Amino acid sequence: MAKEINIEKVYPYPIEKVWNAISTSDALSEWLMPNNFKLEIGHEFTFKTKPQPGFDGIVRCKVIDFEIPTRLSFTWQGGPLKKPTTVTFKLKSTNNGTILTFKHSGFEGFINQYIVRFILGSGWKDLLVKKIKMYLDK
Amino acid sequence: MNRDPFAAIADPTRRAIIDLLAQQELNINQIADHFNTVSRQAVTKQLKYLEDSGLVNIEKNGREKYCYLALDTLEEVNSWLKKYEKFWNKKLNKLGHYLKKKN
Repeated sequence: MAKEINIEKVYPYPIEKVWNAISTSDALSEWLMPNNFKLEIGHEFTFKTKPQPGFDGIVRCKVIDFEIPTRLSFTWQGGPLKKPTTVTFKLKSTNNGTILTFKHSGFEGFINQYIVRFILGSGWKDLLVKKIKMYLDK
Repeated sequence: MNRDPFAAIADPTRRAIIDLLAQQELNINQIADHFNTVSRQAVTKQLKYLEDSGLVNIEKNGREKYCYLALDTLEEVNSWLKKYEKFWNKKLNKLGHYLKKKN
């Protein structure tokens, strides 16, 4: 099972432009979510979106690392993620634009939370029923 | 042999093993090192019990036997991660549109 999310994208624009789009509050508001981001290590900020069942619509973040114009990391906590996870953007210049390597990692706390819930609750029982059904359906 | 996972977690040593494996995968010696009062042999026996109840997978890698929680069965975690992946893919495509609009 993948315990982190990795995505690679190529944008046909110079690295400075892509960097500005991921490291300024206004740009992030346009393509990600409204926020009070500042490029400053230790700065705590939030992304706000429409609340949904089980999610108040607020993602709590903190800038943990950056290097202009190649790297930006912040924590990401909210909804089912009770413990902070980490979001990292890495940029690299190429002949025809910029490669963005995106990573969302640190789901261990989240996974543990589920394990605890499964162990304490009746999750395993449901799982067994599901498993048995799966075998029968084969 | 199949064992009841409820019985599996009723035992404190087995619960302690699950806690350890929730942090990271470990080989049998590393698990045994965490216990002062439980022998390696007893730890191996408890691991076999956990394996039989479907909570832990044990894999042979050369001389070592690695143990990890049977996370692949936790479909809900998987489905959440898939949701997040979909979310980010959508947003990163939106970033592409944003760049196009601005330039």
